Amino acid sequence: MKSWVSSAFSDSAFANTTKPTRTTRASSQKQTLSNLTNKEPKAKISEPFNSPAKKQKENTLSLSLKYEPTTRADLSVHKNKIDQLSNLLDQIISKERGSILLIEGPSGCGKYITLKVLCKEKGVELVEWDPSNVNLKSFDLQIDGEYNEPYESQIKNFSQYLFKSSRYESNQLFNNDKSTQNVKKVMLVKEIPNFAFRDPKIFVNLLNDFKRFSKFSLIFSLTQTTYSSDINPQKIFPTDIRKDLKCLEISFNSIANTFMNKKIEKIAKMEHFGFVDKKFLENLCSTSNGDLRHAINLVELTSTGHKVQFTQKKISKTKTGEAINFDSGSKDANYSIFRGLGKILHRKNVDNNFEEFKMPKHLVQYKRPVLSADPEDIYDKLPLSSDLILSYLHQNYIDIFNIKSSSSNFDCQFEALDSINDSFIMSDIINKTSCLFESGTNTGTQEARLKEISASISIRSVLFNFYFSTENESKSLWMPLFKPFNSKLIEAKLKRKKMARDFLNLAIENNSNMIKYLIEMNKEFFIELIPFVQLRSTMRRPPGQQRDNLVQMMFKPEFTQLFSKCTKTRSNQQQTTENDYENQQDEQDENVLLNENKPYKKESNVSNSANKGNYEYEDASGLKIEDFNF
Amino acid sequence: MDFEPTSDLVKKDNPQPKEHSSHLPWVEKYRPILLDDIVGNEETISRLKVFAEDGNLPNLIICGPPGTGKTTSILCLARQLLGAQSYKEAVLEMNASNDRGIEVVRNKIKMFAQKKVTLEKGKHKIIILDEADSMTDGAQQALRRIMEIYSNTTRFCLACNNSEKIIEPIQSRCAILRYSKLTDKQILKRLLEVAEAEKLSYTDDGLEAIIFTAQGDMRQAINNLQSTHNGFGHINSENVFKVCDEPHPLLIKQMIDNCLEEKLEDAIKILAHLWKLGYSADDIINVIFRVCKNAQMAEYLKLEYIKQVGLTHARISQGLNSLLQLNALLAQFTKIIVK
Repeated sequence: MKSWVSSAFSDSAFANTTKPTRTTRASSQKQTLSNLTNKEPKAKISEPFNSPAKKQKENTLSLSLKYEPTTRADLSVHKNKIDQLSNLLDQIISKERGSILLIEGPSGCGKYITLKVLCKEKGVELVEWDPSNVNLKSFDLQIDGEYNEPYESQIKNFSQYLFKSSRYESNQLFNNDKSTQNVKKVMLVKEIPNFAFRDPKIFVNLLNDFKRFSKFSLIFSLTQTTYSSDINPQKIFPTDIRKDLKCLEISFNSIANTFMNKKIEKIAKMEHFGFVDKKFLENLCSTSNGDLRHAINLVELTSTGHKVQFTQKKISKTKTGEAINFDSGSKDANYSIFRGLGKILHRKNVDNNFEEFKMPKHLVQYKRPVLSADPEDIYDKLPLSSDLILSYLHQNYIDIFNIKSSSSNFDCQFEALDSINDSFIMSDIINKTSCLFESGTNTGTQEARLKEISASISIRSVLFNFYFSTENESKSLWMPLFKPFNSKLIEAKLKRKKMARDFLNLAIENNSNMIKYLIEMNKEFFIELIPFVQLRSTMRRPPGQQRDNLVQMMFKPEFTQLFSKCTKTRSNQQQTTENDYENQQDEQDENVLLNENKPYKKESNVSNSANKGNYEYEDASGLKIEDFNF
Repeated sequence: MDFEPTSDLVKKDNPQPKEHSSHLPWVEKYRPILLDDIVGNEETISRLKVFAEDGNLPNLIICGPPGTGKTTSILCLARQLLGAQSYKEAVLEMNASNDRGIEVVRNKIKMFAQKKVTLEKGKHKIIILDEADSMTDGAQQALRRIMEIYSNTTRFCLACNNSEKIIEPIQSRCAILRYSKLTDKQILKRLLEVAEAEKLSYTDDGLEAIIFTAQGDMRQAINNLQSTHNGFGHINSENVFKVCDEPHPLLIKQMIDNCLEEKLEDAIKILAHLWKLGYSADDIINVIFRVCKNAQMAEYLKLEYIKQVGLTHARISQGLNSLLQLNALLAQFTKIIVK
């Protein structure tokens, strides 16, 4: 624990005055009930409040804190990255005039720890901004009208933090201890203040002022987030602002599996967990997704009370189908993502007999053997929302389909793909319709139901169409699963939610053309599907044949025009502004559009350009489905 | 500043059933006190039991659909871990009804985290945040820091329906437990216990109807049981569907069967009957989906039917809740069969 933090709170007069009264009251009650928890009520009153609770509770620390690295050798970050950061630190310390350094990376990749260790090594003090201090420190009485509660605006607080440091040798946020005055200081912001998201301009102006006036350097440690677009740092630091502010940048990758293995093994050894199985580590790495802290938390969760959790015995148990499910933090009735998706992509039947329901003659060809798992049940147990299921399936189905259907005839393949695409589109429409409703309101149940239907359609369509005569299916088939590429779409969800609201208003006025609008609204998704769908439709469909469902609309001339227009404008933009971030993403999108049939491979240039985006495939590619024992 | 949030909260959570049992909703009356009493998700619960004995609880996120015992298991865990007495002192419970903006996180939660409560070794103060997915991102961001600073005295238990709405930095600091829907069997077992304790008169199909309407949500099952009992005194399927105000699934099933047998007129008659009874399109489509889902029919037909249901449902949700839409759905059902 950082000393300055505990000191800041421990002498808050408030805690000191209220505590004794509470404890005495509690103790008197305790005596009557003879509870085990507190045998010496007096001890805690006499206990000096200022003494750090750390020593006393050493063994109650969570593992992730207990094994926090303190030296460079302990760090699980790649050596080059450490050196890189070290150089940058030297640079800003020597410069010491308002330079700004951005450290980025997914959560749990060791941004803060590395910084901490390096600063300790260099004898630099980190002064962190504590946004939660706002109301405890320096009350600023604003008496305007009825509102006269002690209140200090966050903007003020933050600018104080930024500038007081340069005005006074030691401001109140800094440690007042005389001995530390000569120590070099670096300021650290781990959390971008909220006002910055509301009003980025003020924030940027503050930083500009900071650059001009401050003596110190400022470091931002920013967590890259995938989903929550509300607090995405990317919003605050777009490329142009980074350039304007002349920010130094370094971005951390999620922690590599080898490092993670080493760390976990070390912890297991120190805690006497016994033999750590390779398979256990493999599962752990794949599910924690490069987030070391989360991995250690999972280890802690699984290990408590079972000191010999990781022994061979346990693993043999997993072989019999009771997989340890780290994805959900413990093993319970849920599936891990990979196992669940595997259940969808690799159809499993009860036996080879066809179902016995009556079917009209023309539909007899669609008879299937009885499924061993209920599709809706899979959805319940998969820890994914319906749109993510759809994205995952959309990302992965084509590879597996190619392998599975290799020996069946052309017509069959086309029909199956056609049906899958229809279903995916429909599933997406229904899913996006559910975005019309805020969850938590009265219509929350409606939203959940629509999502369930959407997931049910996508899962069922894959299950239904991935049925081929089993003789050609090799037993040792395994395929890597990839993360959905269209995570951009998920990010755009919020934007779309707003669009959906607008749409709703439109629909009330003019509900006859509703579906058409729906399609337009979702054109992003369709566009991604179209090249594939379109290709097939021209090849396969006889001229006279009409389709009486939604997809038909997509083949209408307006829509294809729309599509070609979209792609054109996209490629134009690419040429003109090559470096723009938005276009980089578009470019990647385009890649997927064009290479849908090829399995996506990790390419160095892509991962470089995607540094600011959220595309990481490294983790997914190493995983074999086979491991999960379907 | 409110510094004693726990004391009145505990009163709410520890009702004295003997005194005024008749006024209590059964959901509260039969809310499990011990982890052992919790139905379903056995693996996860057994893990929580270990923590209840040994302490050293990590920060937890429990997520799952409503009515699966998320809050109950956290409350049980806290009670077993800290004992009834320290519970008052060392637990702060907040749910969506409490204001949980950034201010509250900064003040109330932080104050509580700073509070000194002496507990046994390995035990910590617990902050329970129910329905954490309804917290704003900003508030969650503020929480993340408090989680870190006070991690040696305070642990957080978050319950939510959707773990994706919890920001990643917090997910990274927690162990995530997922609860799944309760099975019909598990709900039935509990319903039988309640029925026994309350000496209810019931028929088997009545309980089945309750399970059908509850859909894996224990809270709803018990609520429906109670309201049926209060309303009619006897629990059979008819009364249950009257209370729950849902179209009878048997009628809906017959309607779908008619479609499967290409008898569109009969199906439409049933639909008209339901419409006359005053059920809204939303009610009807809801039951149609559930019946479709559970119906015994060919996989192909099921897929196609669910697609149609989904589209119609999407339209209805947007305001097109006319009888015509439902008739069109039935027509589509039949069309799939007829070719």
